[in-house]
Amino acid sequence: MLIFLHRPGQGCLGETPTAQNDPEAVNYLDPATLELRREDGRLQCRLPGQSEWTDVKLTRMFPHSLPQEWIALLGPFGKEYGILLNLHGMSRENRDLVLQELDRRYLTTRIVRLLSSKRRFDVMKWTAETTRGRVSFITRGLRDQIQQPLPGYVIFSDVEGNRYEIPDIAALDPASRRLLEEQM
Amino acid sequence: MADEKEWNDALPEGFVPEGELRLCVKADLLPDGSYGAEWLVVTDSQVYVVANGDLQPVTRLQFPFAEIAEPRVELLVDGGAFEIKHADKRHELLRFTAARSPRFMTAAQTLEKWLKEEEARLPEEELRRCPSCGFPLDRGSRVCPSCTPRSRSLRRLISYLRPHWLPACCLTLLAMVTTGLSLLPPWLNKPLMDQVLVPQGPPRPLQERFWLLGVLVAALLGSRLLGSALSAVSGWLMAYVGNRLTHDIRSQLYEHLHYLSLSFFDKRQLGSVISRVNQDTGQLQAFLTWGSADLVINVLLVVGIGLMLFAMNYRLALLVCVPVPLVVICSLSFWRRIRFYMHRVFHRWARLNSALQEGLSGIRVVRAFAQEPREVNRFVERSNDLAVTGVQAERVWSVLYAILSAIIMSGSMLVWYFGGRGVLLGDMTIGTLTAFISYVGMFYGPVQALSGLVNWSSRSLTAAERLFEVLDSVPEVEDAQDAVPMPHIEGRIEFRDVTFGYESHRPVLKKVSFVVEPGEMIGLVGHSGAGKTTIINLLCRFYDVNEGEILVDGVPLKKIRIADLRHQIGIVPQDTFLFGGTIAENIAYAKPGATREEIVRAAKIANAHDFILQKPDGYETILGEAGQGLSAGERQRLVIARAVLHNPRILILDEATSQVDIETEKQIQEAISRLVKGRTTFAIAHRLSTLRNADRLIVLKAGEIQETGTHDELLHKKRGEFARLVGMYQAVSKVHEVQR
Ligand SMILES: Nc1ncnc2c1ncn2[C@@H]1O[C@H](COP(=O)(O)OP(=O)(O)OP(=O)(O)O)[C@@H](O)[C@H]1O
Ligand SMILES: [Mg+2]
Repeated sequence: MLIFLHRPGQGCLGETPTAQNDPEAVNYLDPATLELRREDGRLQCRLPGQSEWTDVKLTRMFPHSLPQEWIALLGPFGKEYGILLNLHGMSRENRDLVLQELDRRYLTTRIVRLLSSKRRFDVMKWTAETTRGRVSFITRGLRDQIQQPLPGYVIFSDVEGNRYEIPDIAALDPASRRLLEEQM
Repeated sequence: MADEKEWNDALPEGFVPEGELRLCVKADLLPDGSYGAEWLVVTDSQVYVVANGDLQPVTRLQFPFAEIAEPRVELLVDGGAFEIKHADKRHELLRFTAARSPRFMTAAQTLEKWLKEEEARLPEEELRRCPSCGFPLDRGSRVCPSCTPRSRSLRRLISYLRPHWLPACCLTLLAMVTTGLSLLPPWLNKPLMDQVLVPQGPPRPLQERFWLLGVLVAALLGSRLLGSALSAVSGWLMAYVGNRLTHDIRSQLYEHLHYLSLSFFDKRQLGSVISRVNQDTGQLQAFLTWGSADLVINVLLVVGIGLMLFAMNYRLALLVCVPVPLVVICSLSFWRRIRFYMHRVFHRWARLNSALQEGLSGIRVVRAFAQEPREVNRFVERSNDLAVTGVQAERVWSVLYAILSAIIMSGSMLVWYFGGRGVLLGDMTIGTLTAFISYVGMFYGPVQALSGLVNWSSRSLTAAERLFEVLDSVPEVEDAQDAVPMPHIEGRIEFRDVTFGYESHRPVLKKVSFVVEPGEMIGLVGHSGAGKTTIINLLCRFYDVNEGEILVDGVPLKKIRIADLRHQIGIVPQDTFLFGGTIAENIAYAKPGATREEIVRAAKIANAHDFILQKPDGYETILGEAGQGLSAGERQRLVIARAVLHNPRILILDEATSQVDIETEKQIQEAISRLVKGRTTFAIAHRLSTLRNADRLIVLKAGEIQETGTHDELLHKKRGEFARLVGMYQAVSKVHEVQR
């Protein structure tokens, strides 16, 4: 799983394509020179000396393992403009814009503390303290509904179609961890 | 407007909008991202965003209805935002979680139609909830899985016993007799002691005592022998009833699965459905076979022994009861931990199994990429996890047993001490004491077993409930009450404004309309993911349309008996699937009584005959699971033969010849074109030359019909999608057959 996480300099595909016109090359954007602004609620981007991309959508390529790196800039119809490998060297305003926009697009609720879990047959009722406030939700059919995309990273999918994430089980308080482990 | 009110959420209390209310949807996120309620309220003159104020609702945003434009939902990850344009500026009105997205999607679509002054009605309530607990129910599900009382499931389980009432009654009787017999030996001990071995008072003559000894030992032996015989019989009976009962449920379950809609399987992982059929029925069977008998016998034993103890000496009996609460509490508290570990063992078994299955079924890929060590490691790791958990579980067990036997022993010690005093003081005979002690030894076992059995039975009831849940989900696609038989379909097919999405808020087909005359051959063209297979799925009624209508021979599809429809549709699906069995069986799958000649003719039409004869076993060549042992193109030709033999009125070829070479394809095409005379045919192909025989082509793009017409018309249409596709196709393949 981790083979994708190499940096380009480390040559995960043998050698790093550098030619600008190689269509298969991963198109990295330089965070330092990228110009960003928000207009009409949408992000607009421009590389120096190029025309502006309107309505840019930011997409995390590895949302669980690297939420603030490997960010793709997509245009209308899912066309990719390029990839920001990380936000180093970005001006403060631009960085804030990127983080804000990511925050706006990713609404998965983050669980801070598990308060209770009640099981009735195949149905589990959870109460949790989240970054949005306290919530109760119901999951069903245990093994399908609690997924682990990475070791220590848990995602619950509830019956209504919402998802709740715990990015690091180890960082939970012992009581929450016990509740979780009892069900896994 | 009655049903619109039903769809709408309730207005925030105390909020009075201006004008007549048309739409009210509640969002569950506040602008700062925390949970909280906000409402989108639309009247015939205003659009409001209402928030909860300190005392009463406040209007956070307001726009005149006539001035807004482009209402839409921006779908975000795990949520969405509702936007409009006002004075050429975009405004985000509300945010909500994914659960609310479908409602806002509907709201946006409806609002858009109203803005264009089109007629639009809000749908009826889309998500049904359990009236008593609010649990969201599956479409068509009758029973709420969250609040059905347990007794109901128990009664239902018992109702499966009805066909087996005779063995069940025998079993109950046997259980009683066996319990009675097992109470006998200690009771016989008493006269053995008091009258034979250690006589109290004046002893009887030695002769008589010898005789009595013989009788009592014989009685002891007899009761033990009879008990063993009866328990053998009841074990057999129990196994019979348990197996029959699970067989009944299992068959019913499998049958039911076959009649469920395909969307049931879209939503679930096949693995978890299979585990229901296997594990849940297995668990139920284990309990019904062993657990329920144990339950009955142990209850009878506890009651029987308890009665005996109290009848012999109620003061000592009370002493016996002292450790009982301790045993129960201890067992119960340990059961929580044991259950935890058992759950874990079960889960780890499942993980191990999936590693095993995946690693072996993908063994070619593993080998091709030389990843054997990785797969082996994965398996070894999981196996190790299982072993560790197994040891932990066992440790809990042994601690529990040690503690329980200590408690029980101390209980018997109490009886020894106080009973011994009684004997010394002459209140009690030795025989009574030994009998008492034996009963006490027999008493704690069932008490302890019962606390575990209660748990076991509740878990088995859960398994039963999970099975019932599947049995209770009704097919979404079902014969209408007034379905008409249609033994002979002419083949005129009409799509009228058909809109459909696998999830209703993401349409895959949008307002698709076309008419196909009987006997026409239609080619469906479009890029991958355009919705071609989806059209076919709707025509076969694997799914029901969301909006619009499909008519066959002028009759709405929903009114046609499903069996009649499917008997007259032959489909060569995109993913070829064959069953284990012989080639002949596979070809004759849809017509089990087919003659050998029919089978061979179908194989010849599909151009499969020649390669079949190359196999040493000819038509009786046995195929492995899922048709293993054939090349992809050979499999595809068998599937075509299967559809041909079915002799359908409507033939559907979804990428039917994508895996065969051009030469073979041409031969199959000629054969099929002879075959399709007089039948309505739908052909889908990416290789456009495949469709040159089609009467008309329908070009789809992103779920909408882009253009229709004959091959030549479309080819010569300037800037047509088809002409563009053909141009690209020719550039790539350099095969010019398309132009004839
Ligand atoms: N069971 C399903 N559940 C959810 N979405 C589905 C399902 N089946 C197909 N889709 C989606 O519906 C769209 C249309 O799929 P469809 O199978 O009709 O495409 P197609 O035109 O047959 O493509 P292809 O030429 O690749 O076979 C696709 O975007 C696909 O992802
Ligand atoms: Mg398809």
